[in-house]
Amino acid sequence: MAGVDLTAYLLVGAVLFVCGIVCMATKRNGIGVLMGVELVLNGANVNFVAFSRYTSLGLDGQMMSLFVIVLAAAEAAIALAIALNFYNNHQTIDVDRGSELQG
Amino acid sequence: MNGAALFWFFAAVTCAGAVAVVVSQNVVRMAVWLIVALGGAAGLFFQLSADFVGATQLLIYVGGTIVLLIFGVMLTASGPYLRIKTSPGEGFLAAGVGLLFVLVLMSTVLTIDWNAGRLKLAGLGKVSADAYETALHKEGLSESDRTLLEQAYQPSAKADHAAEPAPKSGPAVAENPEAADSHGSAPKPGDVHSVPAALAYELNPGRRLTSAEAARLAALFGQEKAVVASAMPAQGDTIRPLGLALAGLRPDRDLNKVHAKAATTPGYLLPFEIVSVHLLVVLIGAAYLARTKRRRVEAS
Amino acid sequence: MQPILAAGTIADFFRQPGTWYQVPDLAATLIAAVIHATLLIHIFALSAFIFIWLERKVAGRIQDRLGPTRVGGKFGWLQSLADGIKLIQKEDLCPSAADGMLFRVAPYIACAASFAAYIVLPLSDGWVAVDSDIALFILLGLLSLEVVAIVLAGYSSGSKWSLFGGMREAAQMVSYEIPLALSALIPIVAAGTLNLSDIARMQSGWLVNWLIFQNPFTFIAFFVYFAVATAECKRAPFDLAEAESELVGGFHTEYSGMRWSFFFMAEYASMLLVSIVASILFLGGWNTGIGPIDGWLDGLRASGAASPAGWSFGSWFANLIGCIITLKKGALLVFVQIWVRWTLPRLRIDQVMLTCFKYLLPICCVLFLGAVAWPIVLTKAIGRPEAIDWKKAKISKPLGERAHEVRVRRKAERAADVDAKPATPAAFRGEPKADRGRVASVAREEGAVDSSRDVAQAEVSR
Repeated sequence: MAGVDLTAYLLVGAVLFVCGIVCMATKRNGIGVLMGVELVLNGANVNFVAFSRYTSLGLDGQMMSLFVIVLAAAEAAIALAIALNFYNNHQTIDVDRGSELQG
Repeated sequence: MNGAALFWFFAAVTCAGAVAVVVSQNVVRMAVWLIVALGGAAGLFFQLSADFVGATQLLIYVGGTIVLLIFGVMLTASGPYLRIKTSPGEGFLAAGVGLLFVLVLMSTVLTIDWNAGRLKLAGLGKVSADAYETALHKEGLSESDRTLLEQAYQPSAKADHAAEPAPKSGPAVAENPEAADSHGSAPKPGDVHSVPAALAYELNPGRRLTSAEAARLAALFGQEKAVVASAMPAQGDTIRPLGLALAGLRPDRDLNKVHAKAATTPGYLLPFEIVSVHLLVVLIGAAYLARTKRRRVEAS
Repeated sequence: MQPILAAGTIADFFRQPGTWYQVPDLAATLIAAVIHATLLIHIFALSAFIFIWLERKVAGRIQDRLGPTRVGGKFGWLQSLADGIKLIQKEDLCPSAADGMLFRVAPYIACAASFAAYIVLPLSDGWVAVDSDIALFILLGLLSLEVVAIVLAGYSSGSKWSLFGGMREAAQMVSYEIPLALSALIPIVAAGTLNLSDIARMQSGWLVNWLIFQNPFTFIAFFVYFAVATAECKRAPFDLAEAESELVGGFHTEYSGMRWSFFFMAEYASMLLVSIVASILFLGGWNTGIGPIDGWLDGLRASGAASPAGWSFGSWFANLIGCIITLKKGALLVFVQIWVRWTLPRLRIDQVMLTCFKYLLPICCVLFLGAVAWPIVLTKAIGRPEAIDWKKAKISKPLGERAHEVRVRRKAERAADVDAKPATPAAFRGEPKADRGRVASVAREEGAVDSSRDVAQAEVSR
């Protein structure tokens, strides 16, 4: 593995994380926001697994990333249910329209 | 060599996919790019010899979650190829902030010398002059090793660690705040000359080490196992270690001196149970939330 | 002597230092990848070629027709080639209402996904591109990618029929993945490993060594797996995604030419894939099921592996036979799938979901629990606790290996028993009307150490 080090993986994780954040901030489609969350979680996962390979973190890192994947699946299911409910009530998935609580 | 090539390929795919998710406007296209990004990340996991995590990523994320997302798109689309556009101003703002953010993160990642950190954790951040000289004048030391030693270590500015035992006996040097202090201050050439025969040597912050070099340095000081990241199998096959770790046995730590006592841990059974109960609750909740409701006939 | 072929993999072969064919590391990997991919593509393409012809022929016979008869002689066996040439000549249409990029890319995703799953599929001992420890898991993960392609095709066609097909496919696949994984897990519980090569190796010997006969739960699980796998390949009676009598063509309504045929190549390839997986998980993989023949083939393989070259003609021949057997078993199951398609009527979508969640899923859960409890209960019942002696067993060893060791030990003991008292079976044979109690008492009189086992043995010998 000449030339590839922990740093390189952390950079990939950083790019994934920032893309996810930007995606969450800019997308007005509810499901698009959800995809941003998935990207952020994956950025964290890449970091976890990279640390588990290159530092003495060991299997803890892989374990954490497994938990993250499972929780992300749960989160996707529930967020999708919310999105469907939102669509039922508003006839659109545009999150900017959900502004009843703004007063 | 081929690990590096595959890494760059998967890294490029992952990053390109992630950027494309942000840029594209159509939700289903976003989902496709998300598949590309997550599949690339799975490739990275395989590269990191975490084969089980990689396969889980493929099975649960790419095969399950994304199909669910696309299904959600189909159920919530009010017209074909729905596009809900962001205003250009917001887009530019987000791009600027995101670029700034990624620069901050990258500079952080690049500033920290992870390999030197591992050496310090192993107690090799600062070594006594004796140990250093012994290592430097060992018989059969190759020229590259000598250069590495000379470049990686510099005489310590503060010579108050003369009584420090050889690194083999204790890993306590890294925790010493003074060591951190002297590491933080930039090496002044004057200092080096003012202490003609240094009593201790510390890592040169100006010389960045690769992980191979760090491992080589640790080997020169007779501490190979301290810097070996973990005793994980290099070619995947992590499923049995993972299963044992779930039950609290840590096969990856047996060989590691630093964690000799940590070969058994509480394990992950309780978190595992909590997550499974959580999943059940979430599934029931999602089914309740998403059930069809009879819409009343409305006036408007 | 220079060990020319003593390489674990093709890549290792090209990496051997000091030989004229040594190439750089990356190039060796690429060469190995190309060789493996070429071999796999042949299986992939040829299986589609043969099964499309078989499908038409079987359909014809079942409907009391002849099926294709003209192209390529008596049986029309070149019909697939004629079809292929026709499809290549067709215009590649992309409807104006379609999302062009997704529409064009979807067939390739389908093809690539089911092709990628072949990477971890062992066709014979050592004849596998990647011998992974979690082969089955990776295989299921890659197979689930095909769904994405179908859903994308349905969505991007810009047609209502396609959209309906895509939505049905998404709902069906997300649901059926659960019983698929669960039913594949039941032989895994018996075998103790996810490595498909190890699972197949474990089943060498007589027919009873096949995992389908391991316990009653694996026996039922085979049929559940086969039904779910048929649904996973969206074959009739679960072919809701295409349902040509209601949805015109479902997800491929708008496709034509080569892109259309890519979907079918993917479908037939994944049919063969799940069938081969079924044969490895339940039906002994590349083993014949006849003890002496398997022993002979295993011996050839072992001698080949022990020789300085790392292989011999004998081991190669044994592997070739093994590969043929694996493909034959797979093809047989594919034939059953075709037979089912032309026999059973299509389910409605609600019936499909009902079958999954109300029947298959609970059955799988019960089978799974049963398969976990079975060895414990059985060893308690027959009074041989050493079969699950956790203290003696090394934890690093998989359950299957341990079970295998116990089986071997028990066989040796039984052989020793027979040698020790050769007169006993003859005595039983001499008394055809001996009732159970009598036999048991005889066994007890013989001073057997483990009376219950001897009762069982006595009953067997009667």
